[in-house]
Amino acid sequence: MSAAERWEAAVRSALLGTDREPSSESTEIDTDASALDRALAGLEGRGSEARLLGSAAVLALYRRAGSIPRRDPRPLPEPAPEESARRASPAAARALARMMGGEGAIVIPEWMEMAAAREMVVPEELLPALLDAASGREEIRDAVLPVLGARGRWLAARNVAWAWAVAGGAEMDSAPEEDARAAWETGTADVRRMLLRRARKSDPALGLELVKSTWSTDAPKDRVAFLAELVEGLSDADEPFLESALDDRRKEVRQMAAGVLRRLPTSRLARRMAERARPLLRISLPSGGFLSKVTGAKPEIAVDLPAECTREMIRDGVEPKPPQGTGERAWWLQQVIAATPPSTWSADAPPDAWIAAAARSKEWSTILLSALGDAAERHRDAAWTEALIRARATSAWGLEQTAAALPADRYLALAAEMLAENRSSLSGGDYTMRYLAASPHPLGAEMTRALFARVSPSALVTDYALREQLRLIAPRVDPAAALEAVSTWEAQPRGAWLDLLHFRHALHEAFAS
Amino acid sequence: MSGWTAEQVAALAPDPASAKAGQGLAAPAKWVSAGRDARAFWGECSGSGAKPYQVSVDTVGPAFRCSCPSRKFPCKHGLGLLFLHAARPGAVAEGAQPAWVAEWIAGRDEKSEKQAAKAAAPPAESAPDPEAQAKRAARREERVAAGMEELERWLEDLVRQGLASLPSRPPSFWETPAARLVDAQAPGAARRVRQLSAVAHSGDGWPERMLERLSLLHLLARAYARIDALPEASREDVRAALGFTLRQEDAAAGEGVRDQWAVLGQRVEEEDRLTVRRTWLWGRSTGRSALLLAFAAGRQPLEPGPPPGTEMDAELAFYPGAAPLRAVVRTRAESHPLAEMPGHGSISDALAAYGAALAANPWTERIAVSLPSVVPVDGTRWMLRDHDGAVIPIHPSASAVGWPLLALAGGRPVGVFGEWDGDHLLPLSAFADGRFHPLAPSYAGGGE
Repeated sequence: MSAAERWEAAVRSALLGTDREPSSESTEIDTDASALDRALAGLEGRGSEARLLGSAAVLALYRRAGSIPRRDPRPLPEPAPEESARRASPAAARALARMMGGEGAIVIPEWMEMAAAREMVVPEELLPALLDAASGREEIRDAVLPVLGARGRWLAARNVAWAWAVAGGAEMDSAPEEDARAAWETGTADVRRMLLRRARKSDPALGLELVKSTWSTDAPKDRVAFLAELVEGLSDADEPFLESALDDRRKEVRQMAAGVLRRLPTSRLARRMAERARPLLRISLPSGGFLSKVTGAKPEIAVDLPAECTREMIRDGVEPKPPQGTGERAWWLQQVIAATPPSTWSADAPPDAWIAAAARSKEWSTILLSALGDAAERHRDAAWTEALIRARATSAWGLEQTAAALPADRYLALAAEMLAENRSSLSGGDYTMRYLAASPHPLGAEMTRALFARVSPSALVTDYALREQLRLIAPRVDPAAALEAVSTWEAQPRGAWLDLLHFRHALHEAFAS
Repeated sequence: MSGWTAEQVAALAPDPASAKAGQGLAAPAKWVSAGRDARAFWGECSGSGAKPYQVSVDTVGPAFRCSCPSRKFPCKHGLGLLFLHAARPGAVAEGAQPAWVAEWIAGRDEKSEKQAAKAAAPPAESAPDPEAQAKRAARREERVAAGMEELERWLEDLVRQGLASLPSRPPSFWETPAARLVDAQAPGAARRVRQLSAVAHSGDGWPERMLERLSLLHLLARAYARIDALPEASREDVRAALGFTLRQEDAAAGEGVRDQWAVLGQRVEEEDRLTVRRTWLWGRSTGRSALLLAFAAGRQPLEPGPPPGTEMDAELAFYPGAAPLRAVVRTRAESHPLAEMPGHGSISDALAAYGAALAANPWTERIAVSLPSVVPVDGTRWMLRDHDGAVIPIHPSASAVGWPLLALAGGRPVGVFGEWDGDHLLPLSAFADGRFHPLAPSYAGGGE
């Protein structure tokens, strides 16, 4: 018997038990017996249990000591292409590792931006954790894609959970159209969304075509998701399709179509809304024109509530049932104004006049300002957005969205104005602080110095809200300028905002080296 | 000494909170003064008290000293000084040791000289009350002998009744004989018996694994019964497997091997309220591997040891045995970063080394395997493949390292170091593009 057979026999014997199957090993030794045979024969003369255990020990060790490795006959997979981009420095890599571990995670997009700007890529050992993180959190995917590098994309192609990274990568731009269409036909919902997002950035018409090509068979959930992606690269070319989607069978699809159309001032929906809205608001300017401040008379606004919520209004996305505590007709008014391009009103009076008038209306100020703010943000109307901000007429929670509607230079110019208004020490509740905390743009060294010139160290100790605002602003300021300003203070402060500044400063230095 | 990288410093931390606190102190603003020379680092760190804390680090050891009240070892100030140097080499300037550092270093050198002399010298004075000690030792031998006889009966009962019913046995079935072995002062045997419970529930192929383990226990019990007839090296292996421990002084007097020892991997585990750290070394010229063990009770911090990814010129003293593996550091010089990874030529060589280790000491549980050129391969499970096409599987519990390994390799060969137990490799470190990467979780807080 071979060693393997003897072993199997021993296992069988042991399973059953020697009571039931006494091991009947006969071990005659002949002259050319192997060392194994001799070792096993040496166990003769013991009880059957001891013999079984003894020979099992010999056989097990024999097999283990002599084991040779298995061979894999398959060809090796294609190795990753050479990485042409530079790897981020070890210091930068450590900072990223700390952020993936949870410390200062809010700075991850900044790391990605700095690396992408220098055409650097994430160190290989961090790729799996980063791909996992972005698989779970869509909002960082766009930031992660440019820094994956050739190695990252090679790696992503080997894991189904990371297929979005291949679909969303920049190579899709140069790939032939048939590849995109083929991937669209066969991909999962996740992959198709990334494909569409990529297409809308470089070739919106292709993106629209892809959506149309499978529209009739796509699930409602997917239809909603694809409509949402059309916001990127939105233009008149998309309007006819979106208008037709207003008649979709499913409510969530209709609502999403209306939501997207609300962002296109030239759409038929926008025009219909403007027509409905015009009769609802009337501004009366003081005689002599608004520019005459001599009389001190202010503009007044007259509001005419909509009489009914028509079927056409519902088709255009107006929700007939109001939320708790709001009147029906006021609710329809709010939605109609919020969907109307603000330029509609500019014919009768400049934005500041409308806003001043709305603010003065005791009954309607909240609703009107909120609606006008929504309208300005959706239609990306910079003039109206700026006017709302100057008038401090934005809602507290809407500031981030509103700020996003301004181009960077206008946003920063306004910020500089606010900071230069006076020299008083800022508090946590100040509009200026809230405006800065909502900033989607980096603030730059000069503005950072201007900001810290108005922050008093003693106020920081007592004003919790101020420390909170600083923590929200900390990812946006210039860390070197901020730390320099802080170093001149007599009493050194402490707080999460300061730790974040140190962390970012170390990060900037890591990338500079 | 050029200093450690941030990962290596993090590996010295007693817990993640200390590592984080140390990183927070890695800013020049926190240090009133800082300096270094070829042997040591020192500095004064501003703390919450009036006087700054005096911190010193001896790179031989390594060892730490700080005037702060923290009980942790090393404290965040020591770690912070090393993190500072790792992040900005210019921040810790070269200079002459201040008096308070020089005194401490001199004191340490004196102490280690004395210890080395004591180990080298013949045992002049025996331990206090040798008679009582001899009586205790004899009593232990009796207990162990009785325990082994009982173990034999128990094993024979098992195979008489048959193994088929074992998976349905309650935990007490294994706990009771294990507890009796502990009473018999044979904790090594107790541990092996306790592990059988998991083997019974290990799924496919469990009868083979069970029979193998039972037969090795049988062999151990038998070997103890005949221990005086065994060669000395095997006697030591039997005693080690049963759980007889050697005193540090006796260990340090063992076979000395001087070499450039590469610190290739490290693993920290909790075992019965005891923290165990395994550090694996590989001798460049001798090709031998060595295992350093460090223990700490409960939540006590572990003594710092040589960090993975470095190499040091040192003399190790091996514990006795037929295939010596466990060692202690007898003397050492400074360490420097690992430039190249030593190891087996192929997977076949590695398995052959395992076979040789088993042949010498049948109770070998795991050996060090260093493969400088293997390709990580994904499939139903992760494997490593060498240039001959041979493959070995990665331990299922370590499957999380598969992706980072694949990312590091990019389909090309890299170096992997780990522990081989005869069935699976537990990867502890990788070496790619000239850089060393620890794979077991460390305190740097990243990547897993």
